[in-house]
Amino acid sequence: MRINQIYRALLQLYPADYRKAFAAEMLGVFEKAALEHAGKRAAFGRFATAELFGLITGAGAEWIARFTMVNSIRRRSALGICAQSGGSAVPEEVIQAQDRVSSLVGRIVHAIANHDFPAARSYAYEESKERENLRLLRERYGLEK
Amino acid sequence: MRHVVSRSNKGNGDSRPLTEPVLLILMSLADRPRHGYALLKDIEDLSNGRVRLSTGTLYGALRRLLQDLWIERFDQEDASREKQAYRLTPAGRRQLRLELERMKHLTRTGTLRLRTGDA
Repeated sequence: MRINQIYRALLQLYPADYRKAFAAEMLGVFEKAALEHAGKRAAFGRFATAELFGLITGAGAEWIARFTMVNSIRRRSALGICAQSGGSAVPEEVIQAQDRVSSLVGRIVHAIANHDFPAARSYAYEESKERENLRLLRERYGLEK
Repeated sequence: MRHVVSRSNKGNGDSRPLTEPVLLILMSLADRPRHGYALLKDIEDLSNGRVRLSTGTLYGALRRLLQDLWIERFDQEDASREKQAYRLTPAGRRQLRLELERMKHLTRTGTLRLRTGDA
């Protein structure tokens, strides 16, 4: 079906690690939803427009997030999500520790952006503890720094 | 798109209001894990057909929820084409509870003011 080809082409607009983690699944969901609207011309038109527009804005949002995210979150995001889909040999415990660190970094950035310095300090304190925990875990598993 | 739409008055990062798609995703996962398509359908039902997320919006929100550890992804052993399912983490469950409490408070306050105005 032609709409599937357009959908596949638009998926290429997303960052590579996002595509690796979600593209096949998104296509599967889209195909299922498209079948539901098949045969109803007006409803299918609305559905297809919303889907294609959603893909374009979604890809734009992902790239914006990519450029505005701090580096540690970006690294974790790719690693963590791929690992959750079974694509990494990094131990789950290490990934979870990385997740906690990155999540806290994100909260620090958000708190600072909102001039909420007491919250930022509190997150920074938690983040330093988590980072030390991560260092010990990486040491234990013999992972490079 | 972030999960939250504005800053809370106390500055606690965990208590800001959630966007509607995120709230509906968390609500949909509250009773059991779901695949992407099941999430879309359930969200449509939960909102009485008012909200129909596109796959781009759904997966953008899922990616951010995974990143913030409010949900997790796992492989489900079944015969369906979609092997990946999503479930709430304890942190996600806590966020949902906080949001529902916040909404309950707003509803109570709003109802009270309406009654006062009607009297």
